Amino acid sequence: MKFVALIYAAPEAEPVYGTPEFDSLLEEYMQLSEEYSACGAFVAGEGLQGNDTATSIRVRNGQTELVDGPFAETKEQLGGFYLLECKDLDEALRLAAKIPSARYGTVEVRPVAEY
Amino acid sequence: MTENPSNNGSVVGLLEHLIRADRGRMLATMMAQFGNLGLCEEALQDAKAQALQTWQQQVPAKPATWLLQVARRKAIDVLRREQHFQGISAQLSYMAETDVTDADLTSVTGLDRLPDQRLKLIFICCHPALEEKSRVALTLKLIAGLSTEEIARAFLDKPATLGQRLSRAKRKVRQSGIRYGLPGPEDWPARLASVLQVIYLIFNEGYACSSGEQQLRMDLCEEAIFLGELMGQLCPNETEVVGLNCLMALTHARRHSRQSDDGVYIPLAEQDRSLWDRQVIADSSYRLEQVLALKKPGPFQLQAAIAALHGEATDFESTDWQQICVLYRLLLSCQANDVIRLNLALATSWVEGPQAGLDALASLTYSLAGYQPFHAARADLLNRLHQSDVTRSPSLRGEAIKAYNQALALTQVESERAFLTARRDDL
Repeated sequence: MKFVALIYAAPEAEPVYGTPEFDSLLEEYMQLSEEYSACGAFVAGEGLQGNDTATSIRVRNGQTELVDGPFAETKEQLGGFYLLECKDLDEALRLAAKIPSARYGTVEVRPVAEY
Repeated sequence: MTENPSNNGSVVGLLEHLIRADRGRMLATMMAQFGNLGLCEEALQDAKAQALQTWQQQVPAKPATWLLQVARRKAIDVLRREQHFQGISAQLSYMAETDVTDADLTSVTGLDRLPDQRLKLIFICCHPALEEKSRVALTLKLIAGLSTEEIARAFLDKPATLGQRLSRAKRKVRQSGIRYGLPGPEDWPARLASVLQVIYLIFNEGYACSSGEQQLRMDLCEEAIFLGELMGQLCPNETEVVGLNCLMALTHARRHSRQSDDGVYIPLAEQDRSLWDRQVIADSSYRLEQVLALKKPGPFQLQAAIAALHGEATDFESTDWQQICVLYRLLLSCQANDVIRLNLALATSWVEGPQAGLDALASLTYSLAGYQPFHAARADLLNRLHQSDVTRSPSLRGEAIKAYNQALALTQVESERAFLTARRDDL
């Protein structure tokens, strides 16, 4: 079954772009994605631009309303995700625990609904 | 055919007894076939409801078989009704035609030749992705066979609240990708640790009597001991399971000395050791020695070893505190936590004196500020220091009284309140 690992972290807890720390984090993520691919779990995975680039949309009474900003203003922001193919929650949790941002942020794991 | 019950009460009683004695076997057998916790449990509930009606006239010769057979048919009916199960209708027809077999029945009538089914169910109930309290509640409900009302009473919850907790937990099991199966080797240690933790929590809830009805709480101890022994049968090679079982047995062996007839808590130093169950202590110590010799130690084995040292001491004075300190340090090296540090501080005080104990407690002041045993321990150490103080310094006495009051403010348990109040007033 498929699981999504949603990666949340407070931007101030993350290494700053352009620093050696940032480079090694990026390197870690690339290795992780390769590891996921190697074990057959990788379906998709992306990092997202910051919350300040978000535009939220609501359609009410047929009218589209745009809001400049994320769905919710929180300290920890959704920064990226992986979509993983795993045999069960145990495996998904074990793989998600390897996500570097879990060390300073939170990774939420959820099964993908099958209709 | 067995007796015809004359009224509804005896059928209800028979059913309750069956469910308790069954200890999750029927559900585990159902799960082996259907793998869906909600479906299986509801089908068993429906079967029980049907039993309440039809058993009035005549109780079947094999009531458990009857329940399992009816539950199985109910589950198949539900699956048939659900459109998206169309693809497996052939398999369903086959299942509907198969009767409950002898192999199924061994799991309901005594000899367990299908123990793995229940082990899987236990692993589901204790999955670490569930909230701790939900794990405890699910285990008591689905494995121990306690009713929602009984579990609610034990944990001082409203039955409705606990019922919601159980439904939420079952929904999460169904939807979150928790597999009905044994954990793989990579997940095994953490998953097993969670099972043992749940069993120990149940035991402690019974032992600590943190409030509520005492009898029911003692039953929780027995329940935890049963679950531990069941795990021991299902996982005979796990040394920590044996460790947990020895720890619970050794602790339970001292239960009659922990409280006076008028309900006052009695500390270890003053317990009447003739009330201890020497046979259980000797058996458990022997069992523990054998498992320690396998050199696969863990926190439960270490705690059991400490309990064994207490159990083997003929009186408080002859307790091997040095060895106990060593064991607490080992325990800290495998699970650093402040409650263990508190116990180490107390053990140290019996080797090096109360001042050494107080010094060791100082670093825990902040982290254990809301923990009653911390204040009770501190009060006792100050009291001992005061007793040995020839100058009878009033400030030491004042500090001890303050500590007793802090401990009192943090407990609702009558036996502890009576003990702490008496100690404070003796000063």
